[in-house]
Amino acid sequence: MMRERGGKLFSLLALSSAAVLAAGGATADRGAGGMSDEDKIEYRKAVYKVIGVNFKPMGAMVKGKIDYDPELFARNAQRVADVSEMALEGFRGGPHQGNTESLDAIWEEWADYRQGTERFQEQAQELASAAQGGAEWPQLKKQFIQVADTCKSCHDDYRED
Amino acid sequence: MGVSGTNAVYVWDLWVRLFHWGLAAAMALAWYSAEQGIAWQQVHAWSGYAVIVLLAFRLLWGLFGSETARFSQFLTGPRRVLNYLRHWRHGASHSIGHNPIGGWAVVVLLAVPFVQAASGLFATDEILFSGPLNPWVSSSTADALTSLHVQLFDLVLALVIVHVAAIGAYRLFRGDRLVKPMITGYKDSVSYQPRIAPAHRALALLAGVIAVFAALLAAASA
Repeated sequence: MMRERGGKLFSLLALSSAAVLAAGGATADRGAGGMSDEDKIEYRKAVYKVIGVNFKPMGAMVKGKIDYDPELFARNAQRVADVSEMALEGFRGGPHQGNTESLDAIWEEWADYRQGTERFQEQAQELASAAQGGAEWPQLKKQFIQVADTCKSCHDDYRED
Repeated sequence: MGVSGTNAVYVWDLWVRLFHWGLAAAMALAWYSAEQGIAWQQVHAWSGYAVIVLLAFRLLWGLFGSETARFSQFLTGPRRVLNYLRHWRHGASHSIGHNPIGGWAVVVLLAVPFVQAASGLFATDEILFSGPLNPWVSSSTADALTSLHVQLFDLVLALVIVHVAAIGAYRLFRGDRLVKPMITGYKDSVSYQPRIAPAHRALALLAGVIAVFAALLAAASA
């Protein structure tokens, strides 16, 4: 059931990013991969926006600001895990010119950056599986922090302060 | 105030010393916890609160505290600072409290960590944690203050290095031992005993600072 939701979200996101790209592409210069620099920046920002919006309520639960809602937590964890697979495409072929906080170090240390993204994907998938597998709440909280730490380590190294 | 050994004078009161080492410890913990990932975020926040409370207390102690703690006692004009620097190697080696350049170093060493700690109150990691006053500012202001908070670290670290190097230089080139007085409070060969403020005043000021800061955090989270 969760998979189905994830799949639905996946196509929704693909559709909306296609719309974004079409809108951007009408005016922007197209780069090598058929996507202009602006397109790539907009695309990856959209991906992280989706991740952030879904991450937030989980974070509020982990911090005890709102009650733990297992169903919402599991749904959002699955969404984050799904969308986490989509970010890297927005970085290929950079650095890109535009309104971005991405540091050139991403492309100078591409292998490390890609590894960081993969760690995020793995940890996010582990959180989603644990949440759907009915893991204990303290366990989930711990795993959530693991995911958040993968965010932080790349922000520290690859995002403008 | 007692005298330990010949000519030893009590120059640094307990509060200046507790402040000094407390600030060093709180800043070290803030640095360490910032490097340990998200699970340490609460430690980072509390060490930052400690920095702010200590600095606010020191500011008040600089106005109402013991003689050597007061800004009016150790802040001098540029001429005296330059004169002191010109004769640094061979000049009179025993200031009663801070020397003319050391006094201004105190101002910088208080101000920069204060700005860094205060900006942290508004900062956000954009993942999970935000400073307690983050809701009071727009997200673009929060972004700017987060950048300031992060970028000031390099300056703070540089200041700490200069501070420690200066202590070493006094020892090496002038034979001044500055660390021991900051631990014991006593300094040798000082001409007179500076006035020491009463302990209850320090405790009252510290309690006041903590109360105001706690009220600020409570107001922000309400």
